Amino acid sequence: MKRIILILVCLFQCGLDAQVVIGDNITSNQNILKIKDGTRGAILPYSNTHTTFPKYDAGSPDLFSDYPNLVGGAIYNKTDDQYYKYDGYAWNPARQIQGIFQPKGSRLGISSGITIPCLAFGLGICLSLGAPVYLAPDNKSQVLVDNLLLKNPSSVTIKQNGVYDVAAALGFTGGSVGAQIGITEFKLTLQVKYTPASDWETIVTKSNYSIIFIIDTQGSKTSSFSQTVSLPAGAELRVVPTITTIGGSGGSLAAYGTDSSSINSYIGARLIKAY
Amino acid sequence: MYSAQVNFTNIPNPDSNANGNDQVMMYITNTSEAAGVKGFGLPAVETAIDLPYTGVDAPATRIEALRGMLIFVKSTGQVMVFDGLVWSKAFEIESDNISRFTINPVNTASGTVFLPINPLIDKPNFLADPLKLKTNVPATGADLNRLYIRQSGLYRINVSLNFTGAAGTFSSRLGASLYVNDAKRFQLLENAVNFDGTVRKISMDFSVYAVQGQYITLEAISEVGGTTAYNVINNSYVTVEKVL
Repeated sequence: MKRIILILVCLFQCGLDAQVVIGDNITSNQNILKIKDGTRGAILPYSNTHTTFPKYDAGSPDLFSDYPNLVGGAIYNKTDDQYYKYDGYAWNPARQIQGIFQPKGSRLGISSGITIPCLAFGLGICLSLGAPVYLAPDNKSQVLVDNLLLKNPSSVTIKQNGVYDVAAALGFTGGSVGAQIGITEFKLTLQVKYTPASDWETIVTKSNYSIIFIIDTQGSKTSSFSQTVSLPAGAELRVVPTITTIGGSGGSLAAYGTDSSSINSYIGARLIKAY
Repeated sequence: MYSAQVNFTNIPNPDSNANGNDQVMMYITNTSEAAGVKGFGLPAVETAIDLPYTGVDAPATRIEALRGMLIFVKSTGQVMVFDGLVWSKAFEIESDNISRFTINPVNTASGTVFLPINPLIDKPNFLADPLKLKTNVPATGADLNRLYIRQSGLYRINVSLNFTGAAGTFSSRLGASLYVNDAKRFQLLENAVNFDGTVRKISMDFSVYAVQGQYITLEAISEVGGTTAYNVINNSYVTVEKVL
């Protein structure tokens, strides 16, 4: 193998586009590079782990820097024994469709958050004033893409009749500042306005919960759910958060905010079946 | 010498940048599609039975030096990759993006318990792992509870649990926590339906954005003030779907 590599390097350091066959003296007019047929294979570069892949960047939301010159690159990962391909933004398993090119999916980041003021002392209720807006610009490095074209100038609407898997996630910031004992529930409600003239209708409410002590020590809280729902074209989507404390005592709840990080806050949709 | 970049184009320094820190070992690039596209021909065999290290020649232990070896099979039109033990399709897209595992039975007296995720693949019973969440992951210790993410993106994770407990338990809600790299991210609660008088069942769907290399663990929980002693029993599953 070393001899082959050595020959390769010697022959092509100068940069050629000739047809080359490795291991045989038969030329191939249809290939730039051909390796001899038979039971000896070809091994492309490997890495023991993804953290040593080219362009790895722990600070990037998808772990890799964007690098157009590397598009089409392939590398074998010994951690999970599969090849990865580079699409200009990240390395993805060779046998999976890259998320950003999934034609029937969208993930929208938060463009405008809300403040959620709270009333506390014993039983706390935090009522949101409006709903967060999920109209952040697409960002392929953050897997924020709108392949279902859900985004309008000021709303998010379904464009195709069908059955959808709708995902909602929201990060909460701020919150409890007092020494409380009790349970805080972080609820996300998915609402749909079926026509511009109709009212908002609640599809589902899911409870994420935490004892208050966890909020004080771990900072921001995140909640999420995923729900399968049938939606007609034109249906507008929104996610409304509410926060309540149950059996809480002492202290107070400060106003909550919403986390604008696309890791914690997003709305997603996948078209399962079009009508 | 062996780390040099090889360039099968007539483009000088196709990957050069300001630092000269090239990222590509070998370029095989068409300079002009109009002049005719030419490819990269892998070594080929006629049929899958011609692949080396198969049948009676299959290795008993992993051949480290051959991990990642590629051969094209003409009869199927597929590129096959050898992981040192067996051959599998290298580039053909999976028919689905869903991995599903059973959860081993487990008990708790404290109200919470991490869920051991069995790596068993049993496709006739819909237990499969195309997302490779458990590939090369030990089935012991903390790793038994972990699902390793191989591709950054949006995931839907369904946790379906069967619970049993003493008479009078489960007056409060049951649920599950989802951890990313041991940090608690979500807790979902549901009123459990006592559908047959003995077993309580919950099914809940998390949505999580996770990046390559992170691991997810799951935990059964009961509401604060609810029962603390219960069993997670057979027919409990976790299903992971890569949405984006």
